[in-house]
Amino acid sequence: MAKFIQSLANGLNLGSIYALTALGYTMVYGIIRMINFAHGDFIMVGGFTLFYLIPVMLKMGLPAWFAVFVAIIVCVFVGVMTEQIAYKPVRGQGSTTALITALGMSLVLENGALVLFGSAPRNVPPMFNLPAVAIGSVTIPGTTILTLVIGIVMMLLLTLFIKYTKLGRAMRAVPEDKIASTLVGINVNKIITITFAIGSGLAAVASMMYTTSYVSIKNELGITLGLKAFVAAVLGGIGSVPGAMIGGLLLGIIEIMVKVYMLPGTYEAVTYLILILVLLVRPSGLMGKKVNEKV
Amino acid sequence: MKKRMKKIVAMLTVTALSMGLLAGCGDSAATTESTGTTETTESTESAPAADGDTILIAGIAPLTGSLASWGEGAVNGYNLAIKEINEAGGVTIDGKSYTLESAVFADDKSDATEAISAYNNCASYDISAVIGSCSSSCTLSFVETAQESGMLVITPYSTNATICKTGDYIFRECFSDADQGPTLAKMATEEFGAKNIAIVAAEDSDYCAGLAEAMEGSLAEMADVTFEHYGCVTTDTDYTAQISKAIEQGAEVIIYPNNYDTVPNFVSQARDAGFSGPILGGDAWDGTDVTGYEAKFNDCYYLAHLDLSADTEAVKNYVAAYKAEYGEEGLNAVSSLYYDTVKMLVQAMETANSYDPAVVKDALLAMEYDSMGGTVTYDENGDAKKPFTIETFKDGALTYYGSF
Repeated sequence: MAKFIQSLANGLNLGSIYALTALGYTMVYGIIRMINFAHGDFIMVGGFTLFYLIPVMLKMGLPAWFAVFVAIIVCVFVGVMTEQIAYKPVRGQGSTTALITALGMSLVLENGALVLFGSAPRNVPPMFNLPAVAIGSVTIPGTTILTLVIGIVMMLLLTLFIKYTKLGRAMRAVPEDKIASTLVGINVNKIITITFAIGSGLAAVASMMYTTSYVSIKNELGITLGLKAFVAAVLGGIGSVPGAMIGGLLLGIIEIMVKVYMLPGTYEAVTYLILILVLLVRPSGLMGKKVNEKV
Repeated sequence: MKKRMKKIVAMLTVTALSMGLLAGCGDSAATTESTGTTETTESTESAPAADGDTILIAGIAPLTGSLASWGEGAVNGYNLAIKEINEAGGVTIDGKSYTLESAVFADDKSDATEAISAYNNCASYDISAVIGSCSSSCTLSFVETAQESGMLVITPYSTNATICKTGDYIFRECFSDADQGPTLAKMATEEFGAKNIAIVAAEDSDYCAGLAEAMEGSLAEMADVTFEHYGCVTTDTDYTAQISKAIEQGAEVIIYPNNYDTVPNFVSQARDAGFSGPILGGDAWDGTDVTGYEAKFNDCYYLAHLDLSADTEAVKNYVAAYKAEYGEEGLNAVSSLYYDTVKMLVQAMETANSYDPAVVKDALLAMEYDSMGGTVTYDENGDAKKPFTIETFKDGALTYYGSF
């Protein structure tokens, strides 16, 4: 039993990192129906920003995690620039073009980072010094709880933002009907830029939580993480904010459980098999909307 | 609408699959370049060729990719040795002195496929020997070709037990995992008195899997020692599942015989999960970055080829020469192994009085070489015997712990 609870905690930690990343995928997809494959690489950018800025913060006498604010600014900048330079010109050229552009951007960022930062792995200095919580024989690291809390807070804020603010309403209107949105006075381009800004800001938060658990970063960090988070978003129902959260948590828990109770070395095969089965039963994902848009 | 959904789903599947492929090739995918090799020879003006006065050799190491820290030191150690040999009068064969020159130093990106093209690049020159590579998986990918074409290969750092069994042209300047495995097992049980041991080893690496196998072989023979093996893969970042199982099993020592780039993640997660016992590693821990996590690395030990802070003439001279030439960057055990391998090769050529691989290989078998980490000798199978050094971290500083 202790083993199960411990694994559940470990799975929640991994899962909330997937969830935070998946939120970014789902945000962008929900608004402009585009898979931003460069999202994982925004997290890498955030990670390297933290690596370089935490020592600066400590030197200035500030807490280490203040670096995340700069990371948010850097990631938002990179995200918005990516959107303006690469995605905006091909908008309206169909989803295949957008997808290929996103894949290309992902490789550009990865190799750009290789040139800038080199390929040696770097340790991001610790940001939080949280005590572990011991319940019976189960030890839950403090960062696990923090990651989970931040993930849930982010999800709630996003849901409230999309549901109740004017900007959020506009964001929901754009995917429904671009032309009609323009007619009622919504600046579609502006909304898309804001969406990317929010998505990239989330990537910076995700990179903070990632580097707290997985201290060593390198330029290829975004590949696997991005892929897993994408799967999490699809599992939860891509476009749905709570779906991304649930999909991420579920994927993390499944991975850890497969590692603990089945095959630790080849866990990915089993994990993805389970995912394919889920999607066979529910093609639109767990929380995905049944197709009821206007045709 | 339904049609559109179908289209989207189909596209997602295709992308997910192609991303899977990309992720699958790991290092190579991100850094794919046209040739896969990088020339870093000093003399690149004209293509070097063996003539009456020069002997050509070539090197291979991961200059980019996830194990690039090794390559950085490797190329420096290799070039430093060549420079020193030439400054001391070159290679003397039959009373005539030859200049030693590097034809090419190729990048294998720590990827087995890249390693083959790196080797082919080396073999396209008129060279007497190949020095390389680092990862066992990379070295294994080309030794068979080398053996068939009679190319002398000396690997400075690949310890996988099967490498030298490929044939009589394949050598190494380091110990073999056939020895390292039992030594790690002995270290855990005798030095740290563990009766209950957990092993977490990557299954997709010839080095990690081979070392774990050798270790388990000797642990299984020990009375009243229990051990469990938990697998992982080299691209993993999360080890909480394996660690929690190790703790549940009551392990007193965890052995993590994987590459240095994943060690900070593993050690930090093990300490966070409450494991305070010793964590042991193999020689691939060399180059581990402990910055920011110094306290967690206390009570971590690994088997090394040498101690770079050793108070011996050879090591002190090497460190001083390296720092004068390249500074602190890349000054690790791998750099010294490449350095020693070049010097050992030259000693073999001078002993054999020839630079013909077919003659040099016999001289290598019979000789003894005094490396910085101890004397290297060869057994009847052409496999190297070399003493072990144990290194540990004291509040982040790499410290000599003992020898085996």
